[in-house]
Amino acid sequence: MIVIIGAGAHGLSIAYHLKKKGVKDVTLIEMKRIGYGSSSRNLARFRYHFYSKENVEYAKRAIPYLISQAEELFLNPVINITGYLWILRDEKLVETFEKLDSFWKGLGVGGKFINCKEFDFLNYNGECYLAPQNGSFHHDYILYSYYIEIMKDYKIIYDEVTEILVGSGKVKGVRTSSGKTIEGDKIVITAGAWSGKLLEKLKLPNYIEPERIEAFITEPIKYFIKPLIIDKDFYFSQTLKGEIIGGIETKIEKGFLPFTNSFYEMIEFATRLKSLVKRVEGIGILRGWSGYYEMTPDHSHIMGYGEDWPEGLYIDAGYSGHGMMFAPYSGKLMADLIADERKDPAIITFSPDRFSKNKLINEMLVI
Amino acid sequence: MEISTVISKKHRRVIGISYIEPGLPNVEAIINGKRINLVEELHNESPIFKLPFDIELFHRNRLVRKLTPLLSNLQNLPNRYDKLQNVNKIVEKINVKKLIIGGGTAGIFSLDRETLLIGEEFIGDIEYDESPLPQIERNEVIRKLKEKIKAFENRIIKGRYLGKFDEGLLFETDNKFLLVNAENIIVAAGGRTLRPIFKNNHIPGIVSRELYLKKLKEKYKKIIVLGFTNISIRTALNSEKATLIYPRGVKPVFSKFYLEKAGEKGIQIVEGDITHVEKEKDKIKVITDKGEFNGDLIVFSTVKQPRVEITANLGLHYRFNKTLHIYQPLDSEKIRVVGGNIGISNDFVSIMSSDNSLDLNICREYDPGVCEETIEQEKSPYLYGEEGMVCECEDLDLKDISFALKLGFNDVESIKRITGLGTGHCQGKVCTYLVGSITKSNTLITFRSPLYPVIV
Repeated sequence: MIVIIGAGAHGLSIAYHLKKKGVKDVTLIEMKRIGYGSSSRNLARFRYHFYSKENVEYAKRAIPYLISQAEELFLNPVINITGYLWILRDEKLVETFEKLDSFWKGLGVGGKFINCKEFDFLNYNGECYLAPQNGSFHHDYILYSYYIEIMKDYKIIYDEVTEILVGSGKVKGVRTSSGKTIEGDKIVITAGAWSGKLLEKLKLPNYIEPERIEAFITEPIKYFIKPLIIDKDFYFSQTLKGEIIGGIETKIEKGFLPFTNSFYEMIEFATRLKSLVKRVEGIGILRGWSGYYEMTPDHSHIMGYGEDWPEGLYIDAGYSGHGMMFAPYSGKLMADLIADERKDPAIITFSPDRFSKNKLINEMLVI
Repeated sequence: MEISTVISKKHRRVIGISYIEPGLPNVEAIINGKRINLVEELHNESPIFKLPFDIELFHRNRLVRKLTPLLSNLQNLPNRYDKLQNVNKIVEKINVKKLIIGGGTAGIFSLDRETLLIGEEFIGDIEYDESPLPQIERNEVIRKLKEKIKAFENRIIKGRYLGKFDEGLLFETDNKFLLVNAENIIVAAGGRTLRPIFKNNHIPGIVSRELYLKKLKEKYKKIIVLGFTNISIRTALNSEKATLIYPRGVKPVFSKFYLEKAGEKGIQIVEGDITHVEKEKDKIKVITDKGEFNGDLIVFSTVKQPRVEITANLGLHYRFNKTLHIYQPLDSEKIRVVGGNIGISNDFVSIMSSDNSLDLNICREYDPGVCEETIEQEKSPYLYGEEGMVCECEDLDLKDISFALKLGFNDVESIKRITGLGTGHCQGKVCTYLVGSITKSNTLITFRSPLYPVIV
């Protein structure tokens, strides 16, 4: 019996890929609802452009896989190639991007420097950097496609896992907050920001901390902003439904802060949007929400298992803001590992042991 | 007909407006960058072309899937939003001991010396609804309300609740954003009627009870009322001549008092599903399985659905009432909900709810179904047929909801995630309740802040 803790993008993707292999006994345990916490709250963009070689290489396999899944998913994942556009307001940023550009070119995902005024909806005339390979998708349609495929065969229990049970070096099952024990010889932690709590309970080092991120969405307007725009700590994009969606990076203490919004942050988002983009002077903010980034010390995910972990325990979490786009591919690699003991090299790169072995990934581009 | 029309977002069909409450679907439109109130200003649009739209096609058709980015350009959306005048509102923080949200009968009657009331409108329904009330004189109540408003003038602010934020409860007034922190809250924000579902329910000439009573009743004398509760009869009593239709299979929940009044006035009450509606010049024709009915206007008055998006946003739980098919908020330690906001439609009962003296027997007699569930309504009282528009903003029909239902999803949140229901301009203030009633879902969606677009 395989028990997957958390029915977000990663838990569901693993379940979906296990089902494709014909694995029978799988149970998912979900605390609230499908995608709660992060997956259903994210801004639904994908990119190749990371700071570290490891993440670029991973994206080079994960993103084409995400795009190829468009064919097989039950619901329309609305894949759209839109690009990412960085506004480079100062010399230092230009220098950084000159380095990144040659690094990305070397890895086959080069972008280009471009004058921002080529994007005529921007009230800014200066240097920009366009990464045209990146794009958008519809997160809910991917989540629910996975769920639809597995819902008839796999059990989903709505309960909170409080503890993973271990005996003679092997996992035995989990205990839930309602007092139930669910047996399993393979346990997969895909609990997003909550994953760290489960590791702590097992006295294993916890590398995952939640960081609350706020997002806002405007009233709809005819589609005219194709790329995701990043202007230092401010970013936004437009959905095909017409809403402009984005947020502001604010320094905030880590931890399980409530999923609320700040009025002042909303005002700042609206003000910055209106000063940078034409045609939206009178647009209203329609809705706000917040969700957790599941941050690790090197802003990169953790997958597989640790050398000294109890047998049968797996993790796929800690995606630090880029979890949704990697979920399809990570689910596939994890399913290969869990069902067939096939260990992709990426599983070693992103293993939890990298922290104790001091093999951190130098990832600085968190969006 | 002096009813504004707009072109819908996806099908590009003509929708006749039916609401008056700001924030509900198509009360406002963006025309050439300007915000136009479609109730106050007559505006008519007709489509150059129409499009078939179907969520099943969107999800399952290979070609549509490939072309989605291109096809989405065909949506009817504004191409700009012009700067509003006088938009520079100051932000002010205030602390109060007791706060009342909403200025209807129950809100006004809840006022006292240590309380601040913030409401969008004052007095409320009773001012427009001329139907008789049991036990009390309508004019007497209005006089008392006006007196109280005068006496507490300096404790009343006109403003709209926009939602809970980290810094406090946000209200918007004519010139300010108010962030209010209150020790205790009374929510008296009332309720509203919602457009029922049948084939062609989007055509002009189908309006809400609220729009009819406030704007149209002088002009349209002969009406067809849709509904199964006291307020359906009360709407009919405001007209010169009315026929009341409740859906087939639905058990009406009328009080003795209003049934008698309906009898005295000669209001015909029939059970039937609507197979066809047709507009002919200034008349509207309704064909049901029981016969044909003619009128000047169709006025829906199914039941008053409390404004649960407000109470839920404040953090209150709610429950589904199986008799009336409404969602009713539940009080918390610090927040009490009164009047129309808990589903009360009768002003006499509403006044009693404002000072906690509500007697179950009185509630049972004059507002059946509100304080206790007498019968279980198997069928949704909003369903007059097997097709029709459900979500006005996102332009979704009953068949789109059925697509999600057939996949095995029967809660509003999942249906939203699969169809986009409730994600449009009104943020689910109508359609989520309708789908909740159809599916008898115990939960709706998360009503996030802001509840109405914030423009700065």
